[in-house]
Amino acid sequence: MQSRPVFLNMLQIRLPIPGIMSILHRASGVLMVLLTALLVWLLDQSLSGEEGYALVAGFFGSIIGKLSLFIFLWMLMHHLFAGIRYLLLDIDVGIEKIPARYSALAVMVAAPLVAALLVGVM
Amino acid sequence: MGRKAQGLWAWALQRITAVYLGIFTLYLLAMFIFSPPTGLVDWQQWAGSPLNSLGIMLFFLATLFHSWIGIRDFLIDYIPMLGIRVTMLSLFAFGLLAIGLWVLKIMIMVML
Repeated sequence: MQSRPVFLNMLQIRLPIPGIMSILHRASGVLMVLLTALLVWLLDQSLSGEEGYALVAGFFGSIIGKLSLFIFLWMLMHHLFAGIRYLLLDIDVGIEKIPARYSALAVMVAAPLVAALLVGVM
Repeated sequence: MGRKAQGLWAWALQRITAVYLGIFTLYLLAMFIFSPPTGLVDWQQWAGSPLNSLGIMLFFLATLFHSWIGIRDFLIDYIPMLGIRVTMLSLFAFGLLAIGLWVLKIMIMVML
């Protein structure tokens, strides 16, 4: 049987904005699953005693800690906002093409902004 | 669940857990912004209090199910080879269970 043609050249495929938002929603989800063990370890350390608490508090007070927190919160906010958009789509809110593109863009813009705001006030 | 609705439990559970995770995340963020822990004892008391400890444990339980369903979708979509996919599903299943038990241990210790 002849093999069918495929087009998987990532550099040439042009996704619409909802598509980009969607694949980032998936990527952020997978990355967060892989980070879960690290997060639980931080929780463990912070509750274990003065040393552990100081370690965690010190990390999040450092520049690298705040940068890491920003990146993590960006992933979390993107995943959360995109998820809310999907729940709304599930009940047929915003399913027309133009509103869907705008809401996808809103998710992508809001996520890093809210993440930066959160790091700023925490 | 009938044969015609088999994928439905995953679809529904993913969304139900998502709602709880979203709400509890907002609660956590609000706490860290408006009344962050002042030290170890304050943090332990907050985390070990009856309602918060329950909320945290439910949060991780919801995370386990939400993560599992999400990762399963990911593996089904991108890993067509049965042997590798089953292996990875098993690794993630054990990993998530281990994380769940670890959280349970942490929370029991802090509630004592």
